[in-house]
Amino acid sequence: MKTYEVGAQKGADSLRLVDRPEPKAAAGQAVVRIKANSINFRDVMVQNGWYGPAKPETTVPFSDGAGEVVSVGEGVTRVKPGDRVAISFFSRWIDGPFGPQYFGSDLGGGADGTLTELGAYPADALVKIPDNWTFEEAACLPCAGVTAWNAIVEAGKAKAGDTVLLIGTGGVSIFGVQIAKALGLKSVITSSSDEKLARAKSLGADAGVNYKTNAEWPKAVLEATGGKGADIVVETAGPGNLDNSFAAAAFNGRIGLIGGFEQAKTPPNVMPLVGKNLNLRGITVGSRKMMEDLIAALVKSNQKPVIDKVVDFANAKEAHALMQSQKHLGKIVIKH
Amino acid sequence: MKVWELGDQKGISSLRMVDRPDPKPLPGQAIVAIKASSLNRRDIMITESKYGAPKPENRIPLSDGAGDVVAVGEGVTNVKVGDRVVASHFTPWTDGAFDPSYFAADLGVTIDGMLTERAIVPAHALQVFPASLSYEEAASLPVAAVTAWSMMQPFADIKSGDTVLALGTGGVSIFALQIAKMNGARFAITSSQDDKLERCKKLGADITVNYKTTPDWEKAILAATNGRGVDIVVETGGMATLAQSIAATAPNGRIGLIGALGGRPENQPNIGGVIGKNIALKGITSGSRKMFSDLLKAFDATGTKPVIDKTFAFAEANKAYQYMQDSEFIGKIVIKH
Repeated sequence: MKTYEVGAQKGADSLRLVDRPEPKAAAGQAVVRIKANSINFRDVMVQNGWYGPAKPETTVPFSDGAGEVVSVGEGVTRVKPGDRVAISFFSRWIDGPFGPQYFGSDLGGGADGTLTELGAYPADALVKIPDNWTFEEAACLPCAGVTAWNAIVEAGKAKAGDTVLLIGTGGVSIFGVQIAKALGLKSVITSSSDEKLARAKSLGADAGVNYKTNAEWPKAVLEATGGKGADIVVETAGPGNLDNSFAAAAFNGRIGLIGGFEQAKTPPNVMPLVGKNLNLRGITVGSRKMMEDLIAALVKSNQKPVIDKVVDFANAKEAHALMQSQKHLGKIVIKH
Repeated sequence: MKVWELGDQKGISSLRMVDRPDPKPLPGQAIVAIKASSLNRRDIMITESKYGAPKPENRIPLSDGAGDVVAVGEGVTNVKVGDRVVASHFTPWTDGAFDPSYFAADLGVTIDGMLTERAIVPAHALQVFPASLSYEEAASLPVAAVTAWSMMQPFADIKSGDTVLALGTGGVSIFALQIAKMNGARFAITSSQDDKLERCKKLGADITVNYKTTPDWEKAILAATNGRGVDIVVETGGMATLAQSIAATAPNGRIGLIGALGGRPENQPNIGGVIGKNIALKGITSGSRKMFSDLLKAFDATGTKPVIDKTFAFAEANKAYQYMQDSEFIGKIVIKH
């Protein structure tokens, strides 16, 4: 079977397609025939050696995958051959809060991932997907969707009527728009492109703010929320944007800190955290239970993950280029 | 009656004692004969014009006070003449989450405070305190103890077995120690002085680190917690210490940022640590009357007494300020009226 490996992690060109013997399901495992993947910025970081210490060159990349169970090992009752499943990001994090015991079980980072024809995973990490979803749609969920759910629902303690602010139109943000719609929240989204803002609004965003044409965009967020600010901020831009997020947040606001992409030139001023009683929480994706809850919320509100572009398995490097071009809205998917 | 006023806020020497007619309550107000008041760090900042805009010169300082109700205005039913009461310094904050409108009715800051023989207080800010507490003890609670409580209970959700770290030995830190111990938590504290750390051990501290002789104190905290770190940090040290606090925190840890911080940190906090360890960092500006009421109940039930460092006479209130500024104290500085 064909499998990608991260190689020397000097960029997308280090990705290498190799042949490996087909995996067998050990006790507690299931072998999944992967039908689709999606890429996350975190995969770009891994591939460029920016995501903690360098991984072994044979590490299989990508956390996000969906496919069909082809065999199960001893003691597995959770899934059976033929089941259509998606795979949870931390294969050991089932429920409850995050813990250091889950370090190393992140697919495509600490553990072999899903950019492969066949993969063996702990059966406990698998979640059945809705019948009317394609594999491509299901493959969008594990990293970006669950991150948005954790930031908004678990850490953000969202309740109907809250306003959530989404930074940019990447995968996490578009899931944020959909989660907001499912839970009776208002959403405000930012982008450098009016065209993307219009598309986000057509997906259900209540307001859009162009941060390129509007240098003081946090003020526009305040205006869009009657002067109050956002109750929840999904901070996907990174520490360099925190001053803006603090300014756009409402009193008692919850800020989910996702990424470290936009590094701070000067340290963020944390004074507004005190004055506004803000709660800043670091988010590292989420548990399998959160993925199950997310699927249920999307199904109930008749929504499906939003796919921007699909590339073929043989051209997986293209997904990296598309991701880094930042032209997308929603998810970039790889089809097997 | 005698009251102290801020004066022109050029320092402690601007404080002045003056005579005023005894106040009468308007509807919804109570007059409290103040028996004790206490100082917080922000009271010093106010005398130096370092706490927001300058206040009117005739503003009565201090947020913390306890006394007897001597008169109530029309419509007041929650307290009556003769009650021994304490006041919540954000007077409109009775319950629920913080609201920015509360800044406008903050005792000793935006409205007249407690350094007076008789204070005019919105009655809904008052509550009766347990007989087990003296006026001096009750007066030490409103800002520092409620801040520690707000941080440990609604925010950090303290439970038995957690480890709590407080930086320095001021009022909030010592109350954090007491609240941690009553909840069955372990307690770690830092100070620049070994004798203060000794006193904290006597009060129940499990882990003590001298940050002067151990500048890498976060490593000492990690070592004392088997490399895991602490579950809760009472970050009173300002932003300059935040990077070390994040390093000393366990996965899923909660860091409460307490006010009186200024400027940007010299060492940029390791935001990667906040993400990777799923740390929650929350700003805390004191708490509600409901939190205060829960705190009073807990102090009463466990027989816990606030730690008072020194008591000054009302006529020498300015000396209490000077003592806070100049001295090495543990816990609270109280003024007896």
